[in-house]
Amino acid sequence: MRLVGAELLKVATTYRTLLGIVLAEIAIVLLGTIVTVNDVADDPVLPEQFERDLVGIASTSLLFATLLGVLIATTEYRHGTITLTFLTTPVRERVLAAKTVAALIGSALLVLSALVLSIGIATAWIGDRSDFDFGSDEWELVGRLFLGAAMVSVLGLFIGATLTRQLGAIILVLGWLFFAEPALAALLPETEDYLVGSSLGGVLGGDASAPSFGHSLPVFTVYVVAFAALATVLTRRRDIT
Amino acid sequence: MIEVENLTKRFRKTVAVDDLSFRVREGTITGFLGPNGAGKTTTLRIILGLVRPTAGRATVMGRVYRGLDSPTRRVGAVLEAANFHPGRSGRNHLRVLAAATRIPRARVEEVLALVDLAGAAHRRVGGYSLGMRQRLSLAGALLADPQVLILDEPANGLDPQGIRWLRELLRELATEGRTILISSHVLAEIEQVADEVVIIHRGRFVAHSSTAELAARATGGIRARSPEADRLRTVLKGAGITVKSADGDLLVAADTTAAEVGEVAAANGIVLHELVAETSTLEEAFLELTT
Repeated sequence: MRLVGAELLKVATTYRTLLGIVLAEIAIVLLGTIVTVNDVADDPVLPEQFERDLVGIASTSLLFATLLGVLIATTEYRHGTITLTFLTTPVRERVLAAKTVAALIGSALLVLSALVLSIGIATAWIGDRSDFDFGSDEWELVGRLFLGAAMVSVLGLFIGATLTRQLGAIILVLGWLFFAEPALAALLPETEDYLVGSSLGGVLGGDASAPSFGHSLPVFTVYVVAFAALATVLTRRRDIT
Repeated sequence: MIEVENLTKRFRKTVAVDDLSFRVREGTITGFLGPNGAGKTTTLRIILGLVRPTAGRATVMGRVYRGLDSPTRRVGAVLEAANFHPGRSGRNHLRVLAAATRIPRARVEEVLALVDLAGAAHRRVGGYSLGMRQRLSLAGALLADPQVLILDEPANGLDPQGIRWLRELLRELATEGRTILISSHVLAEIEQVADEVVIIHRGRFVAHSSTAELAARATGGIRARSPEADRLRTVLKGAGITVKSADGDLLVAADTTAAEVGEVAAANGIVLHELVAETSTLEEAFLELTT
């Protein structure tokens, strides 16, 4: 626990980066929620998908959870503080484990803040309408969102711990998700269900075209475990010069 | 206390440390000297478990660093002044270290006062001078009150007052019985504080002895000035004394004493205007051994 506390303190005491992530998330969720609620506020009946759309808006927190994971791993290499971290805790796997817990906590807070914002605004705006109803299906999506955020944050962390270069890791993650994977899926459609982005879509649910949860969860887990193994081996062997 | 045994480290084709062995005795201040690129920092990082040796091993208190129980409570280290997050305050930097080792926050304030940074502790490290960063590094090293200190160029960036402060701090720490291994290129500083010195060059062991012994070993020479310098040179050579250099009426004899040179001159009726035993310094010894 003391190592997790130290990791959380590292994040909290360099709050500018954290603040940037939180403010960016708030801005996007705020804008998305206002546009979505405003579109339906005057409709006599809310669209069937409305509540799911609110969870969907909150799912933008996944991007920030991924970035948070990458930053928790790479900031220490960028500024050289990893030297002191490994001096304090020379069993490096323990550092990686503590960072994993810190990333999980951070991702959960990011998802929570996004959900509170999107559902809170909608409730304040149209909460008195009888057709605004958060049912079990929506709560299942919320649960999946927390799971997905947890998985992408640790994946981001392990990618960061593997590459160690902050900019390189961010470019790799964003480039893969937004450019390489769509291109690969277009060229080789049979691979799509096994790609990381599609698997994440399947874990989150809410999209009929995404692979099933039962298929996606183990596929995504394989990615996380593979990067966890790679990051652990490289972190153990890496010379801190 | 610190033992380096047949240590070798290769970075691809470059051999940074080559079969290096030495031992630092408990309760001593040992200077770790070598020219730039000699392998000092790599050796210190291997001792601290940050770099994996290609061969050999380094232990502190009989164990590799990774195997030490609560390592920072046993070994404090100052490596380089760049190991800080620029956005974190000096105080928070130490609090993070304290949190990882269950050290009470009150100790953070103690070490901040010890290194004279209490007034600047709330400021972000990005705005610190190099000297302030060195003080903060030292504060981090002393945070857990360790028995062993490993300091890599701790005087870097310190102004003359800061260097004096560091010297006094090291002496104080040494009187408390701590073992200190300190690398530096400021040889005058090492000479003033170290009991022993280990010299390496191109990754290899060169010498290990007490500071005084090493300085004495350097051939400072006997400086003699005479209007008959040429004849003096001849008679000294005839007496089996090596003349290191000669320039006009001045010559320097090696591996001898002022008395011997004076006696040879007197025996041959040569007038001397000057006869001085040149005092050798650690720097001269260092240069002799590494060039």
